[in-house]
Amino acid sequence: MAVINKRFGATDGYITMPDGSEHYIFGWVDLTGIPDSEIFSYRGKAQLLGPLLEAKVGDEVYLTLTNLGMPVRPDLDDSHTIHWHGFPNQIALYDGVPEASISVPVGRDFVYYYKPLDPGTYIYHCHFEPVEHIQMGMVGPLLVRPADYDPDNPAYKTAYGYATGTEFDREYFVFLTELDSAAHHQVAVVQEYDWTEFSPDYWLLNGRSYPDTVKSGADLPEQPFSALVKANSGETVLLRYINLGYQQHSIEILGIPVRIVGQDAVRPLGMNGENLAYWKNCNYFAAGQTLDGIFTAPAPGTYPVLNRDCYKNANAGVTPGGMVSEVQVFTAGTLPPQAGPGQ
Amino acid sequence: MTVNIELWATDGYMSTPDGNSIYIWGFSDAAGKKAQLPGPRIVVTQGDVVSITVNNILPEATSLLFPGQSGVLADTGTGPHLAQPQFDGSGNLVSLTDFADYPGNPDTNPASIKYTFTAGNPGTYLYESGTNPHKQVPMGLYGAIIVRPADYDPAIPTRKTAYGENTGTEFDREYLIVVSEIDPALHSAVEKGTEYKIREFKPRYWTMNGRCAPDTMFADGMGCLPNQPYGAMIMAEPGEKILIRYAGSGIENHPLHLHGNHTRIVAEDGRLLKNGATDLSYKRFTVLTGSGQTYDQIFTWSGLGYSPADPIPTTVPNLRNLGVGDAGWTLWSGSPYLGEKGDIPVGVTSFNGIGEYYFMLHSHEEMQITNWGEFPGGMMSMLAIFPAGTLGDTGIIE
Amino acid sequence: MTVNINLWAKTGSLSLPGAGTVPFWGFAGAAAGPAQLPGPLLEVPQGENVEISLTNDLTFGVSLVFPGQDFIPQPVKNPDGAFVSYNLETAPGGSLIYSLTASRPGIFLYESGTAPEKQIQMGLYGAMVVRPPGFDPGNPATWTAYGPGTGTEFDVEKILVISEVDTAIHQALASGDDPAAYNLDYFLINGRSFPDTLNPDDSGTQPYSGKITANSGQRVLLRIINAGFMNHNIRLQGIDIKVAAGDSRPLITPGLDKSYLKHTVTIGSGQSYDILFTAPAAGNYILYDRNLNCCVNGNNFPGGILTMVGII
Repeated sequence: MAVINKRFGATDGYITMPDGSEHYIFGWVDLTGIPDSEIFSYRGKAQLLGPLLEAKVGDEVYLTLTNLGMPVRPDLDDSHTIHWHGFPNQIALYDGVPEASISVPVGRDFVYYYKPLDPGTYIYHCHFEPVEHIQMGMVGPLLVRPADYDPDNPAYKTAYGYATGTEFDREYFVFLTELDSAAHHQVAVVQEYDWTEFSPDYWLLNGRSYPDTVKSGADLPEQPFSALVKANSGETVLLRYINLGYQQHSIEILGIPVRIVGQDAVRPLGMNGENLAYWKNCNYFAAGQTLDGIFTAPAPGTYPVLNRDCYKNANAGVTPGGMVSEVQVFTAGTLPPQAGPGQ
Repeated sequence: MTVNIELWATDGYMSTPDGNSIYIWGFSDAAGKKAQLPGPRIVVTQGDVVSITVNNILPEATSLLFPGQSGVLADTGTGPHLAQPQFDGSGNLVSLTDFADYPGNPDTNPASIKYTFTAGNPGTYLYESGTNPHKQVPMGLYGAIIVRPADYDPAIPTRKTAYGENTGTEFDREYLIVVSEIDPALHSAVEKGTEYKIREFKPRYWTMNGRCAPDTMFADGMGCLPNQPYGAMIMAEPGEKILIRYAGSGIENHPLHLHGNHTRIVAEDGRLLKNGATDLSYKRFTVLTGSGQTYDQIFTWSGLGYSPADPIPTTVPNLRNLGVGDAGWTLWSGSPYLGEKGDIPVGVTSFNGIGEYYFMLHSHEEMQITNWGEFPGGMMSMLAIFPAGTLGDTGIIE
Repeated sequence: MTVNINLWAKTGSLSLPGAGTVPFWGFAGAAAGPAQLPGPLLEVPQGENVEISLTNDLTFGVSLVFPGQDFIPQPVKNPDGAFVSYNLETAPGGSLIYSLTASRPGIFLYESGTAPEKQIQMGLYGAMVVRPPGFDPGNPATWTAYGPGTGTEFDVEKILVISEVDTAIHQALASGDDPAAYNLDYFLINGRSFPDTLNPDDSGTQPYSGKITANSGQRVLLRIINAGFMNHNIRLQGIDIKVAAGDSRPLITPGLDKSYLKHTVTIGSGQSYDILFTAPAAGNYILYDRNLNCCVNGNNFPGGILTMVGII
């Protein structure tokens, strides 16, 4: 059991869509290990998605939230929080709901503490004025490994623990959000936005819109999570689906049905241990839900990933775009072992 | 047992926390009373013969569907018959079921109707209009029915269940939350008699039990909400089994996320998730509540045991360095610990009573937790965890 | 063995209540036949190789994909590496053979993999039923959806393909104009809006009735598949329905019965559910979309996704 110390900064920044448009965001930046004297230089460097937060069951996570303020909106002195979405038996102080505990004002730090008890795919996000702060980009992936997780031992490289039928060779995030560019513009220029008018024009996988989704992580430094899924034929791939948008989505991979072995960070088990895992051709799921899907990489080829609500496969009306990506399957033995989630 | 219920289909107004007053159609439980949102809760026992009479004083015909009930009989004075879709003389469908006409219809069809069914299965159900449902249901002509299992006995813990003894559905307290949407432009069109354009449906308010947050957190029967009698705050003590019944009465599906812990869904649409000995119940931290559907869940929050004697492993900064009550109020106690209270900044009102915890319950389509765009509001409430032994008789539906 | 099927992609004209005729693109089952909505129902035995020869009578490229089925897409990309088509494209005036293996029984969509946001909306989709081993159309005793032991025996089967139409987009695309944002105004069962759903099968452009007819006591299998771009909440009023399969995976497997009862089933886009019930007492039972803005035609109720189960 390890002690994990992390420090995330909350600030603003810009992201880019494939059509070259830039969009103002709020978001997170990883300050772990950065000397206090240098953290000021991270203002305005928010990324979408926020940095991956990863822990093992039994670890102790001390997560410091540092509110760096908004260089583009110095007038906006909003506090921020971190809500670990789905954390079981949480206490109010660490739950990140400002109406029910505390928030972190500009220039201040707060240490959240978590000792994860259950493995699975979770989310973290800011819960301060969440309709604005989540849409503006204060979201990130959070995964909890089982206590016996061992990436070097295939029987223990699992989503939910030894002998749970969740072994995998590679793992990827399928993190869904939407971008309402009009809302982002209004926030950038200090105007009110009626959130009931929410109407996205970009639909994002891992903070990117197609074809940027299939570019490498390093190609878009402010959007560091590629959505390209790669595997050798015959390998087992774990997809960690997360919906943190404001819409329901239906995600399909042509030629690859997916077996759902986890949902909302629990294995689907009945009261007597009945294994309720199920297959889906299309995964229809909603904001605030997560799924763990597994498939065996079929014959080599390029398998399109798309939103079956096909109008969401667009960038401001231009297709193809939006929630589209690829599963690239190579001849067995082509790819070296995966270095880490999404790599 | 035979249960006779009388409802009046009528109009009224609902209040929203931002000061709006919105025209509704709905049901009341007495002649001359205004419509309430949602309609009166109906609580019966499995095996009961339930007769529900609808007296219509709206300007158009109305009716009731009972999804999840079978063999529903309708009687408009000519004797009971299987409730059926209704067609006009030209063969056009005019109602999904037998209806009560509007008073004074020159065709002189009766303006009241009696539906009768046997409550065959325990569970959570909706009743809702089957006449112009694209208009009448969003206007408010809906309500919920709870059917107790035949062996229900609140005095015997093994028989205080949602679905009967040995079904794994024992509970200590129960809450019913009916969710829906409000597009004030459509309500206004009905009030003014202008064209009702469902294609332009665009909700500005989202409701739990007919209320928008923060009114959702007020108690039942608040005088300031005369036509919205049901609160939506969930209150529990650590370790208790809480039965939470969700019902989707709107047009949209809503992902309801409860902080604090997973729930276990034990039934959908009033049908226990069991096949003989095989248990199909499942856990979720977000329940996608489909429109027209119901979800019964068991929830327990036990906490992680933090107390002043077993303190949290971090140091809470001085209040000067924290945001507390940014809106001028907070539900926080000022302490990390259940049952403890601490300092709250001067000028901030704490609505915390005795050091209880509050966890949010809300739609995760976040524009739905606003009142016409202003957070906080809409489809949002709280779960309150009170120290053991302090809550008393709360969470009882009769 | 190989099953050979021929399809033609064509323009056509839909009839929608209150909207007159609306242009669409669809699949035809014969060179001289009309484009249909949905496309011809394809029925193949499990285990067969299926080769579909598509002839493109449209003025732009089209393709076929088989979501949920065993096939290897061969996407076409532009010089920048972006998708042009999710499978090999059939050029205007050309024809091409698409292959899949019908490795599992169930109900599936076949649909265009080229600009699907336009081409599926315009009508280039249809349903394919894969029959389990032992299924003999001439012998009702062999009729199951998923084979022995899956609890899917039936006497009456009805396939219901759910979708939507935006008539303004149809008019724009048929005229070669840029479409506006989606504003759906028609909601379809088997290509028809209520009350047309109640009409019997015919040989026209929208040939498949949406009405279900059964005798009291018969076992009825409804196979509902969503070809639209939004979820639909399908309710059968007054009848307990058992969900027997989701996305063509039977819920009853050896040693575990995961089937469950519902009255309203949410079906996401691209998803399917197989639903079983025993026909109750004689009468008319409504099947409709509990998304109450989808059982209308335009602004008017009744319409859209609404039909009857007539029990005799």
